[in-house]
Amino acid sequence: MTPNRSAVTAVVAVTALASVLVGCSSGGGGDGAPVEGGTFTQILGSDPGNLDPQVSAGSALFDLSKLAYDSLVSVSADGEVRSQLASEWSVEGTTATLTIPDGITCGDGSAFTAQTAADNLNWISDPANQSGFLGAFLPVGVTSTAEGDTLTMTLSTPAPFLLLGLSGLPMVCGGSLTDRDGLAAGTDGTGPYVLTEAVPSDHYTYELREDYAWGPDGATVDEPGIPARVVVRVVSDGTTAANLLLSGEVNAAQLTGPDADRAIGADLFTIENTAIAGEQWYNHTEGHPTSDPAVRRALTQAVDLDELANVLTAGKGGPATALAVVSPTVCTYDAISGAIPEFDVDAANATLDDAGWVRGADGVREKDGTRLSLTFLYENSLGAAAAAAAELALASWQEIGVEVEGKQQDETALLDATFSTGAWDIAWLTLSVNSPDQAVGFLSGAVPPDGSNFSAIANDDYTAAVAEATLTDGSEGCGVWQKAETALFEAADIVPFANATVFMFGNGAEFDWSGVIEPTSMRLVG
Amino acid sequence: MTTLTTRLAEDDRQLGDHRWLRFAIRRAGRLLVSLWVLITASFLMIHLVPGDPIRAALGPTAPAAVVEARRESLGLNDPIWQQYLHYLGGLFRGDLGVSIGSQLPVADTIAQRLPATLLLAVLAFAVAILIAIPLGMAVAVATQRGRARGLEVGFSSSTVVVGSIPDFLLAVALVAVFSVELGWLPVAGREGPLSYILPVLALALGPAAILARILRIEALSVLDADFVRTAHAKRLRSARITLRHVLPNAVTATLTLGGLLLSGLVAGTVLVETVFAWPGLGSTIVGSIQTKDYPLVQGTVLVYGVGVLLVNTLVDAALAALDPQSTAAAA
Amino acid sequence: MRRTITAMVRTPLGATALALLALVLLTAAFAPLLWGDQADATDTGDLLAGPSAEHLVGTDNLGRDLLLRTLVATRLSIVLALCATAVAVGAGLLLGVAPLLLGRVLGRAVTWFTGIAVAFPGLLLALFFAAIFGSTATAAVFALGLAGAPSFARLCQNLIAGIEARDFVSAARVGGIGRFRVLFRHVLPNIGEPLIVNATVGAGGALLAFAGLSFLGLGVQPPEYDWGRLMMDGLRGIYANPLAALAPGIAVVVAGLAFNLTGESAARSLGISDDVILTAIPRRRRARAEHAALQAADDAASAENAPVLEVEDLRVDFAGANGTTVHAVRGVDLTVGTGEIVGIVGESGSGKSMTALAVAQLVTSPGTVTARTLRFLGTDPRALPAARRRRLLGTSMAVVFQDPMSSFNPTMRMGDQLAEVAVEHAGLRRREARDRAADRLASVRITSPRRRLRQYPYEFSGGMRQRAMIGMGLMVSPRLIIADEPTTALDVTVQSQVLDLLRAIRDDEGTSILFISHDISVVAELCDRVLVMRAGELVEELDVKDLSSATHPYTRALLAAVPHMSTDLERPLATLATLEVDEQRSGRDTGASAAVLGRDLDQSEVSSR
Repeated sequence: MTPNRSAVTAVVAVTALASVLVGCSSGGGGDGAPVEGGTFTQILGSDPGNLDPQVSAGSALFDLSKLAYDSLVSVSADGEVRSQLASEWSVEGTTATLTIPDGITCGDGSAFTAQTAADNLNWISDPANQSGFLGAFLPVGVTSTAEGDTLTMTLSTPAPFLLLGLSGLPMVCGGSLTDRDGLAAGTDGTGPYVLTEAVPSDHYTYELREDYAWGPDGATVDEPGIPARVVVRVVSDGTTAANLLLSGEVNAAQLTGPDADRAIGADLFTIENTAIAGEQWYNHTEGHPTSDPAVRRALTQAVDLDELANVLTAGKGGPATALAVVSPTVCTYDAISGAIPEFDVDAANATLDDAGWVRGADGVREKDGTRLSLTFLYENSLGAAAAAAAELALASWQEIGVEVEGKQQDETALLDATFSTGAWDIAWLTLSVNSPDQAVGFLSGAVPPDGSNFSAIANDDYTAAVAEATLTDGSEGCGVWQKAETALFEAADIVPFANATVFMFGNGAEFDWSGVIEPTSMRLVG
Repeated sequence: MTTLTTRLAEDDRQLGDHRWLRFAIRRAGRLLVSLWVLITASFLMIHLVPGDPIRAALGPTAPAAVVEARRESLGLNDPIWQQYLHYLGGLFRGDLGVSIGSQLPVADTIAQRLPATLLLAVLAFAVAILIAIPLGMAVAVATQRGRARGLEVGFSSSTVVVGSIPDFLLAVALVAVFSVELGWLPVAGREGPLSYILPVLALALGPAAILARILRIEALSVLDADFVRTAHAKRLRSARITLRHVLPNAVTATLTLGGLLLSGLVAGTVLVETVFAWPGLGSTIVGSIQTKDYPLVQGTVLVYGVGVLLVNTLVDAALAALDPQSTAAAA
Repeated sequence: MRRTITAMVRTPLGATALALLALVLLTAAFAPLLWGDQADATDTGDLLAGPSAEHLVGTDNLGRDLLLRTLVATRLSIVLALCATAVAVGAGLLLGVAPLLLGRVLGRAVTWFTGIAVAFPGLLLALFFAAIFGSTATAAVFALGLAGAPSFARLCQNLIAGIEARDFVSAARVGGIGRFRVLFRHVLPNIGEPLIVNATVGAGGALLAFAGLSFLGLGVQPPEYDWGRLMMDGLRGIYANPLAALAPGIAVVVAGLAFNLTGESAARSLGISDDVILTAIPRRRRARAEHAALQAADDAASAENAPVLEVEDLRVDFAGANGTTVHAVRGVDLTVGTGEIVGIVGESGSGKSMTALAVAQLVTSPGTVTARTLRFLGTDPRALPAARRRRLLGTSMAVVFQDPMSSFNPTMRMGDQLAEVAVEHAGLRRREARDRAADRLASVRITSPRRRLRQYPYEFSGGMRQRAMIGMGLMVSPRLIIADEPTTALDVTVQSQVLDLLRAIRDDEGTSILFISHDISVVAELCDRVLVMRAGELVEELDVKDLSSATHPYTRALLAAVPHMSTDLERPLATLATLEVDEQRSGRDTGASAAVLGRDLDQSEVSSR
């Protein structure tokens, strides 16, 4: 896969010197001296729209919210909980206690207290406020009270990864909790930066707050190389983002695929992370052939999942390991290898034969008059790699006598089919979660519209193991969570098959990154 | 007899003065009705296409209760005709609704992004015309009556080639050469006059080539016309013959096509906007259709519709002014 | 059809176009058969590879050879594009001609509906059809076709609107010809050329549109693939492997080129008449030098009372495509004195108009004009630099053409068309020029000249236009008016007015007139001297009063061919062929023939009044 320039870039030969020079000036970070009071420019893939940090849980908003808002605690890249707004914390069963020290101020100078925190949590907890964080980051049914500098959260059921969820929950300052209009295009938080200019779909500009001193583990902004200004540019096209990064016009960008290759080739400051790229879901609802465990097993055995992962990630990734791999993660285990049914076409055929699915005259299997004819949906945002992987899967299934119709759809249609109409049998949908408990609602329990278990999975082993794991706190329960997930994979109820490597690059800058850039870690280097 | 003639002459004059006023009023009325049809059609279409924008906007991880609450508050559980009337009512008040995805008022979003797209489209169109008309006319004069066959083939091929290149491909190529390799021009964004050059070129070159082709063909048939021979017989300067006699008669199809290209440009800047990270409306239209963001779709269709219909009206007016015999004036 | 293709192949444009088209169609037909399986061979160990010896363009996400895939994709891409274009053109034509067929009210409704349809975003339409038919190629074809139809319809409507008001359409309608016939026989052929070109442009555009649809996940679905899908897939990796996107892009351009060139060439070939395609003969530079030398010699000999026009051995030649040369004028000598009205008479094809045009320096390539002597007001215009020639001819020579309908610019007011002569050659300002134009219109007996100035040519009647043309010629003071069949298109009453006008101009201003006509009676009425031409040659030249005693049989035949009030109604009309046969059959000598003619000529009106 060596890059090879030709054709259009015939001019390259003439300007090779120029490009080398460009490459030199923007190459690498880390060996330059810190730049004082500079501007850090980063790229955002899509415009977040309304800037209210607690309404939409979209990832586009996270990067922006992190600049102007803090969370109660923060989590490092390897899952360790650190202080932020809260200096002390403890979680026991259904009660969590946090201490909010004095001295924390908002951008307008007002104080942030435990009461403010409690009001924040109660606002999010109220379903009438339609906060997208409810359920994912803050469990349902939490009531919060404050006394002095102590914040007390009362949960309805134990939440083993409560603190991890809290680390992703931005806190808003008191004044704006009730009157939220200003939050749509402005900021009111305790974070290290304040929004000074917003041009939607183009760029957002933030200015530094000199007095900020409550970063993760007490980090302040009194460090060499901290940028005085942060500009976030909205660029949706990956190739354009790569161009901007390589030319030095921006300091940080997240790139994938061939765009990442160019940045890797330019020897820039790089951080790698893992994300789940391929998850194969089956429709367990009665009336669908995939409700038959044998069918699910055979469909899984028929496909070479390693090859599929390779194609889907275009070589930048590998087999899946678990359901919750997006950092910051607490549990890092491999529940998949050894659990998922192995790639074996003969075994797949045998499974179907044994279950009574007989091949018809045209090669498609039948049982009791029903053709084994399935609908396979996958998202179109994943581009050519997904289409290629889909083709591979379709061909594999055809081999074992299953007639599959593949449809590439946009996100709204896909979600409509899975959550509303149920008109699907196999679907590739990626559920990006940080902790195993965030996935529980999708893998067990009520089906839509009452719940999120859209594929109608009913695995007793999984449910039992989850009940046990929920009682343990955080990382201590990882082993049980692994057992729970293994139960799902062995039964081929759901098949994650690909992890992708996600790259974050810096040009003239360095920083910590675990899904979002940590603002106090940003350093501009010459 | 004299009185009758005088009065007839006066009436004639008055009618002539009011001819344009009547034209304007008629077209304005028709514009409004057209817009209404457009809005209704787009409303129906976008609501009838399956897809769940709320769930998509909130993400799969949102609890069902939240999704339902949002759906309820946006009135999406009401019957279609009720939603339609509600929307129309809002239009009369000047309220275009709130975007499902971004939670921002649609009117604000459009007001912020429209100028960027319009500017790009109009500039590209102007550049295309400025290239196409002189080029097309010059080559027509040079290749009339079978002269310069080589030039004819060369011109036809090159205009077709340039006109066949997809504009996004051209955009990427231009960026690769001028921004990434040579570093002469900015890679992306809308900041400063230099940043306009590549996007405008990428959009303008294709239409310029097509227009030049069409104009040459039309001009060739006009050059053979009798009245051009008369103009030659009057021994007028070539420049005057070309500009005053040939060109106005050669532009009918060109003008119509130009109008179509302009309206196509307004809506067709999507891919170029993506490549150059241009903060315009084009990407909004596509994105909102894909995410079934109903209010945003309807808002952008409305704006786009107004723009196209205005351009069409301008084209009709120009055609009527150029060729007074045409029934387009009476239409 | 065959004739069109043959005509096309003759031109370099057409030959190139057909060659490209053949290439594209052959690839479409045979590539899947030859390389279809190979193009599907996956090799997941070699994903997204760059160009190599084994894979000239590289590989895709499944390790498949991109060059083969591009070639095999030709069939689907072309078929889809053609289908979408067919839908667009078909629907567009229906909508476009509907106003013509449906009458005013319904027609306006259709026009209005088309205007709205154009404003509808094609993308939305594509999504809608995707919802109805599924995200398939069929849906995309209909979506693109119907999305493109309004634009085509609008073009049709505008072109038709321009044609509809023309007199020939009104004439057809008044003549009771049905709407459909008017449409097919009168309107469509006249708008055919831009339509065909636009249709082929549309085919090229359809190719691009499919690429755009692939961007959104509509259009062609895996495992099918067309250029659109290949291009979008390759666009992501364009910096790593530019060829991955360029190869299908080049294919799109080549196919677009094939369509567009074919369309343009076909449109032009359809417009070519049955006559031989004329090509230019290389100029003879030596001849020019000869002329210059002769000019220098003759200039010395020019005197005050030199004739206004002196022509010797005038020849006009055209070279045909198959090597033959057409001699339109073969050595004509001609002199016009001051204040003289000279007529040239002959049947169609005799070269009389060409003589006039040649004298007026209005013959252009592919015709070539040579003459031993050509002098206007004592100067050889060919030897003058361009600006002075324009000045000389613009101020002293006026030309009146045959067809008053088409000889004026339809988009320019009459006043402006007259005024520009004076602005250009007499240096007048626009206001003064317009005053003079009004004066000239009055002098050619056009009423309300001030009002008429602001009118357009279509608001003038035929006779008025012809008189206006004469008036236009009088804007500066010409010494010679060349009138090429000026009364042919007019009725007798108007004709006599125009002749009176010309005579008055000669009487009042002393202007010479060179009058061309096929009607010998008109010539005899107006002219002082008559030249008879036949097949490019001058056969006789005589004073008009000697016309009745013409000796040349051709002249006599011309005279006899004009029936008059006392022509014997029992006998068939005399024609040239009949008379010749008569002469031969009777074997009489010239004298007897004269007697035959004389019987008819005694009471003839050939002699001038």
